[in-house]
Amino acid sequence: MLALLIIFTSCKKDEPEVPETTTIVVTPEPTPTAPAAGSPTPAQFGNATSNSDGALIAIKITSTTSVAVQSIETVIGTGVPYFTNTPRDFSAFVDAGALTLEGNALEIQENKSYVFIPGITIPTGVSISGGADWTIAGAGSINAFDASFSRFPSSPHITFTAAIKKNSAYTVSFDASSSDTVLVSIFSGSLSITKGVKSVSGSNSVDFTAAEKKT
Amino acid sequence: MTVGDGAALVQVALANFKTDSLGSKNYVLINETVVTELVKVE
Repeated sequence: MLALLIIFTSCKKDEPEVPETTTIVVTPEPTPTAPAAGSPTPAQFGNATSNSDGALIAIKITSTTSVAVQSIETVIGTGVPYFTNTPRDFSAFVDAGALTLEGNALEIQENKSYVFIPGITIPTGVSISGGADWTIAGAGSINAFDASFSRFPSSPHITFTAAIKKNSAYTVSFDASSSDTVLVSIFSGSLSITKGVKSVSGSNSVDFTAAEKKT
Repeated sequence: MTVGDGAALVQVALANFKTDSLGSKNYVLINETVVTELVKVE
């Protein structure tokens, strides 16, 4: 039961722009299902993505499930890169040849984005420790290159997990290290609410109003 | 307890990013850490 939602808003040439927007997405589905790991879309990435020719996204996902009085924690690593032929135009992705993240081959999808899918042999996915090392074989207009990014945020810790009351406001509280951006989301059935907030080292909280939850 | 059936998924994601230039192309590198917890809905 995993959900991926990714955001970035800047590059090293400019000061990071932290999103302060609220995105409410309602996807009509006849049967509510748990959100699944999926490919992020460029629209989730803000202005920085619109000026780029592609993105190499390494993701470390920690899921906590309470069973009786115990909490079970599962950690999975994956990568979701994509490329475009025309900067600012992410209406279509392009093939960039074979890709690896930390030496693990990624699979190209029908829409030409890539993803690493944990399987039987590697159920916890890509082992991500200090950073992310990428190799791109290149294809078409995409030249071969290697890339490396060592700054991986420490895992935040959600500190308030009381039940969500229908028709009432809800506050998500968490401890987090400093990072370029923070995104807080609630998923329930076909409804998802996402808020981008400024990163603060230490205690944080994000409020979801009753009206937002009804949307 | 599953999401959408009396439960919701609360998620916090932290991301760092930088841009690598290769010739005339710019690629954004993102390292993201995501934490999710299942929360009861009443």
